[in-house]
Amino acid sequence: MTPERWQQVKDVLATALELPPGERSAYLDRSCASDHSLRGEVNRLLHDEQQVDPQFLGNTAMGLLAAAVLPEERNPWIGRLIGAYRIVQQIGTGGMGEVYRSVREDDEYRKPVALKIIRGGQDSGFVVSRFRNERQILSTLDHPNIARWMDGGTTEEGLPYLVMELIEGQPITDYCDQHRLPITERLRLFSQVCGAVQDAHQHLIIHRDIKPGNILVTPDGTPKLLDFGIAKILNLDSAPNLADATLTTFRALTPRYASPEQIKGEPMTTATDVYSLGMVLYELLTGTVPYRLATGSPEEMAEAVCRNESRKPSLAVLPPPSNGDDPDSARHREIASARGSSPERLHKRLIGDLDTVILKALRKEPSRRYASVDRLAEDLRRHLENVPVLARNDTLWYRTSKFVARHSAAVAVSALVTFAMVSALTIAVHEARVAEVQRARAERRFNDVRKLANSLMFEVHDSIKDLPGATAARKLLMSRAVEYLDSLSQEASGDVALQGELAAAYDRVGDLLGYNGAANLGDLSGALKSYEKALAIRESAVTNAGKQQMREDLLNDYFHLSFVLNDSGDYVGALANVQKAIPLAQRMVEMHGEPKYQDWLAGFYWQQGNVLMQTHHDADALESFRRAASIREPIAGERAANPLLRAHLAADYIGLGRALFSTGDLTQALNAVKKGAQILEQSTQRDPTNGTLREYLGEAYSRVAVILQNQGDLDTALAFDRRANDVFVELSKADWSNSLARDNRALTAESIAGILVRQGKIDPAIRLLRDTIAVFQSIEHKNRYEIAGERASYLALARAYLALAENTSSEPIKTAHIREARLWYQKNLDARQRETTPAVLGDLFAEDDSEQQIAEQLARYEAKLAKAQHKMTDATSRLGQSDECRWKTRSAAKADP
Amino acid sequence: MVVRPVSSYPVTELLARWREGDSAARDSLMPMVYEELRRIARKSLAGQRGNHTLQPTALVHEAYLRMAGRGAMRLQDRSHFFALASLMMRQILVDHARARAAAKRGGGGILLVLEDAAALPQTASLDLLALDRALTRLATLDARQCQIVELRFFGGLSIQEAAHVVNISPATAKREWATARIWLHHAMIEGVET
Repeated sequence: MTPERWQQVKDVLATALELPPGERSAYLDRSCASDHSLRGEVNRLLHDEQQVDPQFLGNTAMGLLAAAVLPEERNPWIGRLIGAYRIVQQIGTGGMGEVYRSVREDDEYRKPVALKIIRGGQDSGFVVSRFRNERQILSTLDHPNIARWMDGGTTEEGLPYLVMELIEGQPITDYCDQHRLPITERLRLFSQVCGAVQDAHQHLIIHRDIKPGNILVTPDGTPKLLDFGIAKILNLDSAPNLADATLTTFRALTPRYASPEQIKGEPMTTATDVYSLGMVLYELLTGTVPYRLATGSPEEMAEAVCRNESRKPSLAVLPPPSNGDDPDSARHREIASARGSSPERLHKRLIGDLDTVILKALRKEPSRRYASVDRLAEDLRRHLENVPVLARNDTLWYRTSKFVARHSAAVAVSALVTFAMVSALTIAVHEARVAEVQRARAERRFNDVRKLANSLMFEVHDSIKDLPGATAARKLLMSRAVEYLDSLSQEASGDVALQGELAAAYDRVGDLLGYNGAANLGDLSGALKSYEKALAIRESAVTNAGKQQMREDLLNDYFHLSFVLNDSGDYVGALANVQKAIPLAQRMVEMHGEPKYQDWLAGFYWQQGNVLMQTHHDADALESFRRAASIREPIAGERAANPLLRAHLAADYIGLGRALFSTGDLTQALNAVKKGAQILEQSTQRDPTNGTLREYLGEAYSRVAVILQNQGDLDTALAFDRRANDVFVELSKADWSNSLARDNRALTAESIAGILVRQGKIDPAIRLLRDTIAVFQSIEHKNRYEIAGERASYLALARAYLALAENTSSEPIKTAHIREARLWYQKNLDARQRETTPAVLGDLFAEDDSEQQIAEQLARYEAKLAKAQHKMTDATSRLGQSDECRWKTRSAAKADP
Repeated sequence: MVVRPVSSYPVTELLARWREGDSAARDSLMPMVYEELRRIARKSLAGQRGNHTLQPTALVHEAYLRMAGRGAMRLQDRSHFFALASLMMRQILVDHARARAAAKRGGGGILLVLEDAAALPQTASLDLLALDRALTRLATLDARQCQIVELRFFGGLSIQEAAHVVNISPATAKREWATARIWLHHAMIEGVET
């Protein structure tokens, strides 16, 4: 047959095929009228058509053929010499290429290495030059849990390749499941991984692609991280975004461990690795992902990573509450059993700390995650050692702002906190935007800070270790810190990023010196200086650069400064800082429109209200709180994504209540405070493990109690005070080191006792007060709130004894009670001597003039007593003399043995 | 200007050069496409963890998506890529069948039967070598029609996609495909003569 003939046959055949079989014959008659052989050809083929299987040349068959055949094809790479390496065996395939076990030909020990061939349309010239650049940095990575890079080059075909230490092991998830490791063992293994990642971060290397496949565990149980820095070498940072379908497919291979910023193509920082570590930990502990997915497609996963809230790990391990036989619950049992547990026990194991820690690592916003891998590891360590985790300090910004001054008490600065802060200081200086900063300067900076950290750690460590109140040691620590910071500061001119970090470091120094009620360290002014330095750096940098992050930090400075100044009694300064911050915060709201900034703006109005309350500008304070509430109301509805917003709104209502109370509008005040308490009740019900919310709730209850007391409704007031006390008792039981809860517990007990005294229930009041006083006396370094609480307890006890004196007719008993009252009153005066700033008591005793009243009452009684004593002059003076004689005799005997 | 070896160009660029008539570019592409196809096939067979399993027919598409990377590829280059990948699939499979035949049966007409027979429709057992021979003959009669078969069968492309690649209307492509199937079936049964 000739091509021309085939064209003829084909035309007729094709048309015939398109006709119903009954019409074909007539068609052929017409079209092949004169050409019998053409008709013969077509007929034969048409006849054949009946026999052609519909599956003939079908796609499915072909696909399966290919799938079966292709892997059997001999791999042309095996046995090849690439650079100095002979390829021995394929050991893996990944998104970026294949990995081969290879040996160095010129190595007499023929130690095997892993050789990675890079694919995916990478420009090899680019990859190789990138590798050379990175190599120097990567070579500084020398960590027992990190696989080392050794070499790199281009194959004859022009494909780039990289050589790294060969690790033979299993992905960490498989390893843990196969060895049926319980949660604690998994955490220990994971902590080692954190150590490695942190080490890399300190060398300014971000991994960017942490996943179980990159964390292998060797048979002896050592975890090893692979592929550090490869993402940078391959330039995977210029990540595609979801809108590009091709890229989605390209990236889709592991969106499971990718962070939201990675998926959106935003800049990556160390926080990206924190996130991926969080994902790995989630999977290690729960065997699943934090999202409920319908199809599990990469697109759905990517969407979920960016939008959906993560499910608590403790909930992810529970099967849905249907029946026990469905496949889902079998899977849950299997997951739990690989952890040596049952779903229920696993649930209990994860609830609380581990939920909190993992969700903090998985926050969508990088800035709300752990500030460093170290912090994450620290919390895991604390969890393993049964010490409360720090993740709850997420709300520090607000918590430290003490929305009820009466019950707020500073957390004592313990050695532990000091060390957390020292490491924070070290990190602060180099954590941010590691990848963007010029390498040379970054390295130098790092070295400087490392010197600082070493100095702090080694020179100061021993002297501070056993001394909870090591003022001298802390001063050394701080002067060193500031010394180094100053030297960095001179280098920092013009480098906005570095300036930002430097300012952050000054903030930390400030925190350590005097923020958060650490005035008992005696260096509030040092703290102020430090904050002001941070502020000055940022103020100049903002005008130069105008970066959003810098603005945020600046706002934070204003807030801290305002708070510390308010605390130290400098209300003018406190107000000035708030008023500088408000227009800036307002601009941020207008520019970015994020609820976060609205929340901040409201926060400043709220703080303005606080300061104005101190200066007794009650009407203005009221206005400030109203504004704060009106800004937050629209963003803090019941379904607000961020539960903190709800808590902040509650704080606004409570502030409003305080201001109304001061203006004398008790009814409105009660309404406002109750509104705040209601919100907090809802919030705590929704999130029962959140201790901070519970603290707020306890504080709200005691606010309600104060107002009720003033309305004369003692019974209801007592009920609210008891509720508050219950909250704090529970909190301090759950967390023995929570000094805030301890203080609040004592303060509410004091308040309860006060009401009991007023109700005439003196004996239980005295018992309660003695317990409370014991709590306060046991606190070694009291902050001023604790001193105030102690004084209040003394006064209440004095009042209780005066009441007893009032009720008795027996003169000797009355005298004894009055003496007792005088004793406690005097202790109150002594305690007052220790107060550094008198301002606190203003709020504490706003509800009555306790001290004055007691003093007057005492004076009256003692005057009566003196009269009575006159009648017994002889006896008394004889007693006095004999006392005096005995004393003299004893002293003499001592002096002359 | 620094002259780089042809093979260091990324896929997109190689395709563009090939379109412009640079056959060295095509030669560089071949091993890359080959490796990619192999890799994807292995992956789909191994049944990777997770839900992301590959449709076997999507091999060439997947190779395309992966190799094209993130640069947007010109439509014309896309066609070139599919044509190349389909041709290579044909070569790979036929070479494999030939090697097997030589190794296990000492040559001759071989019926390729897959290991995983359960997963296949019965007719999947296919004499690949006979098909290859028939296709080669079809190419001498009608090269374009042969290419349509390659694209459809070896490349897993739809009628519309194949039509696009060879630049004809889908209706025509459908006719070409229907007649080619019958002719090939006939040729394979009849042996050499047709």
